[in-house]
Amino acid sequence: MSILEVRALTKSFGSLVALDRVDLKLAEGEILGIIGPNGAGKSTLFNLIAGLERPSAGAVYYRGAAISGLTTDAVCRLGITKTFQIPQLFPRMSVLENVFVAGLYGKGVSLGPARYQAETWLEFVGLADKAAAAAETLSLPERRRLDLARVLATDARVLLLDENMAGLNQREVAASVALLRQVRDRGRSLMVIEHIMRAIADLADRVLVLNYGEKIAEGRPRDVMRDPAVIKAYLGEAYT
Amino acid sequence: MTLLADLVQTLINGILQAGVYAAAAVGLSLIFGVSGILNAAHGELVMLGAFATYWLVSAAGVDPFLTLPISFALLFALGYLLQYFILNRTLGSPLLLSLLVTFGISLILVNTALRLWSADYRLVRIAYFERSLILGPFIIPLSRLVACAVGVGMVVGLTGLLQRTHLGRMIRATAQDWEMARLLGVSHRMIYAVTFGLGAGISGVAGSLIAFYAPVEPYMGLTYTLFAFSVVVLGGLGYIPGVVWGGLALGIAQALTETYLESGLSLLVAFFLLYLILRFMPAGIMGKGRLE
Amino acid sequence: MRFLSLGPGEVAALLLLLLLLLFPAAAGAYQIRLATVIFMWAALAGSWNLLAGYAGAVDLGPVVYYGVGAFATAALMLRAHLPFLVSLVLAGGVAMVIAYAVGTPTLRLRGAYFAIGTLALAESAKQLALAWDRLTGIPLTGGSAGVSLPLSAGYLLFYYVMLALASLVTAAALWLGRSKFGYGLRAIGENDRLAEASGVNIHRLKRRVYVGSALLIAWTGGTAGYWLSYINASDFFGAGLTFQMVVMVLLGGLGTPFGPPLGALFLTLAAEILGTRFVYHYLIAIGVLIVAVSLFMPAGLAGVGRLLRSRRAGVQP
Repeated sequence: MSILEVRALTKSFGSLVALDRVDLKLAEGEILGIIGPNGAGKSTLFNLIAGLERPSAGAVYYRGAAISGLTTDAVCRLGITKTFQIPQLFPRMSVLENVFVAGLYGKGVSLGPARYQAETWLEFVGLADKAAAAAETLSLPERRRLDLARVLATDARVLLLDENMAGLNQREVAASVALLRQVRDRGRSLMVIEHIMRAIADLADRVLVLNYGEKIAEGRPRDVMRDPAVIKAYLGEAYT
Repeated sequence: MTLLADLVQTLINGILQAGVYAAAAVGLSLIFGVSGILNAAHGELVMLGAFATYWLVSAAGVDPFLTLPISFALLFALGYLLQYFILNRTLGSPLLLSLLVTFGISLILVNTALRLWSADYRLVRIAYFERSLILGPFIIPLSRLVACAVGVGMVVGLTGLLQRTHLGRMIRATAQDWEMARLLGVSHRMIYAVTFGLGAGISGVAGSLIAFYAPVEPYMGLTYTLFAFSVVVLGGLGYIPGVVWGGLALGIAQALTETYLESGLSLLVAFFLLYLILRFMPAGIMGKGRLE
Repeated sequence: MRFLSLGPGEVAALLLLLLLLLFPAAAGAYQIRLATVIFMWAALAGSWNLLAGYAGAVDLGPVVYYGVGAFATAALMLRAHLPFLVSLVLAGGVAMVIAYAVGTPTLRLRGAYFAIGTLALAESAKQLALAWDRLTGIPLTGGSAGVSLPLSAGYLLFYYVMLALASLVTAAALWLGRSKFGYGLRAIGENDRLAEASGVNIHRLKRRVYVGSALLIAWTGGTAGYWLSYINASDFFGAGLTFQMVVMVLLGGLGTPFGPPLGALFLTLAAEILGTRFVYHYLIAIGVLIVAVSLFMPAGLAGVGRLLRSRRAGVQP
């Protein structure tokens, strides 16, 4: 059984349809890439799954149970959470506290274990030496890694990563791809929005393409990127 | 009077009040929309404008209409200086900071006014305003009609200034994105100061208009701060023409309360209306306000 | 885990509390009254700080619960002939019920909207209290004339009740500094959307601290009403009280446990020395102080101390 299933998910803002009857399934331990031009509805899809916005129609199922209508925090405690396109943090808390809070509330553990686990996750993403620094002092790549440590600390099984590699250089992207593979090996299922095609091709087991809110293709990365409909949707947009 | 005539007179009173409310609130909306400052000293600017008119008329014998531009100029200068030297320091800080700083400014202004002018209620006596238009069964006091007309005129004028002039375009660009404004070679600090000056000047004139028909006293500010918040929220925070709708909603609601319930409850109605709109229609009655 | 171990600040606070418990034995009536005023403000400012300093919600209507506490306590004493402390405890319950009902919708407002909404609530409450007796026919607030309470037995009772309230509020703030609940609130205060996405039920946490702070404010209001033996709606629901709380917290240090009592001490003494002779000058000076502290010393008086030991940063669970 798939861990996450989305059926006919639709979101309209007035007359604008941001997402139009999208279906998808995410298998346990799978990495699903979501690509598409700007404004294709990728972030809207994540927001609907994570409970930040309410769908106009359709439903989201987690391990077979409908979850649409739950608040973001409830969805998170259930096991689905997302990172933010612009990485978010608790600016005046320390880096460790940022991760610690996610463990306290997302996973629901008490102070002692939350602290220990936060240290472990910081080590995992390579931020252990910054643990005591104020979060607002981190650089952009560091903020992205902190965001990842935070969602890992919530113990969510499904991670929605919204352009977690944007703004990184080639070396950092490669490191990020390796890190996300390790995340999957630790029993997480991932949905990844990414503009960097090489990273998606390397990382994703399967790719889903959105254009103007509709799913136009789905399949193995290599096949999808040769799909004429996909090439047409991207026409004029440079990709690497 | 018949029931219907009663109702019509009530609506007239509400509409007359609405114009002044719109003028007293538009400055708050402008300043919040452009620089993101929630000005807790807003009512004190209205109060100072009212005192300017009071003193100019009663001590210097200036014609009440001539006090309007003077009131505008004085408050513009005060607003410009406040923004330039004090409030610009709060840029980029959380909202709480500007709220607190303006609150401190309001305490300074109220208590300076009390120190200088005492807590007495003062009335401006204007002979040619003490008449009313009588239309059949309806009475329209001239002072209120003039105040309403000038008030609405200022809102329209401000909207035009923002839409059609170079200054207006610079203000709107800064409101959108101050870093962009800076790239265009506009000093956002100066724009913020001019904006605060404009908002303060209009609020001052609104105060002068209020002095045409209502008593003037140092504590009147807080009430107008709350009225202005109500009007701005009713019309939609950050949506400037919304103040006309907000003013109408507030003015008419209050007039109805005074006629049909009890005059003591009109403030309760005003504030409760504000609360309900905030809670259930946060973009204002026209749905065009800026949402957070 | 350091639940039972105390830091140097806590130890000093406990020693101070011990001294304050014994203080009336060594002091005259005037000093005791002045100390009671300081405790009252410490309790009020501290309660405001629980919501604003930790959860980042700027409540401009805490006076609602001050007034409710005062009038409910008075009504229970006068109409039900209950003893003061029983009335006070029950009035706290009334305030909690109201705070729960009011807080649930109001706390959904964010930032500026919450500040304006709560200010509107407080002014609505004041107008409602002024009109209550006329409107409902149930004598409760005495309209603009207010309510008089029997003169009470002396000032020591009030000294100890206010001291207890101030200590309770300070202890609550200390607990927030090291508990899971406190971390959740701080997360909300720093970035509520992110807190929600990290699993924090932001509405429930905020409502809990709102109701808790309403209880403490209501108890302080009930005690103040009996102490002054005269209550009227304009004063007890007045925005001026809110402003004093805000100023004391800012001056002392927002989001710190000992900031509010420090601010209360400083401003009450300043008012005592300057206030009676130069009322307007005093308030102008307060205004200048607010502007200056906000701009140049945003961490408040407590921040100065914190700077000295900033080496101890990091998680301290």
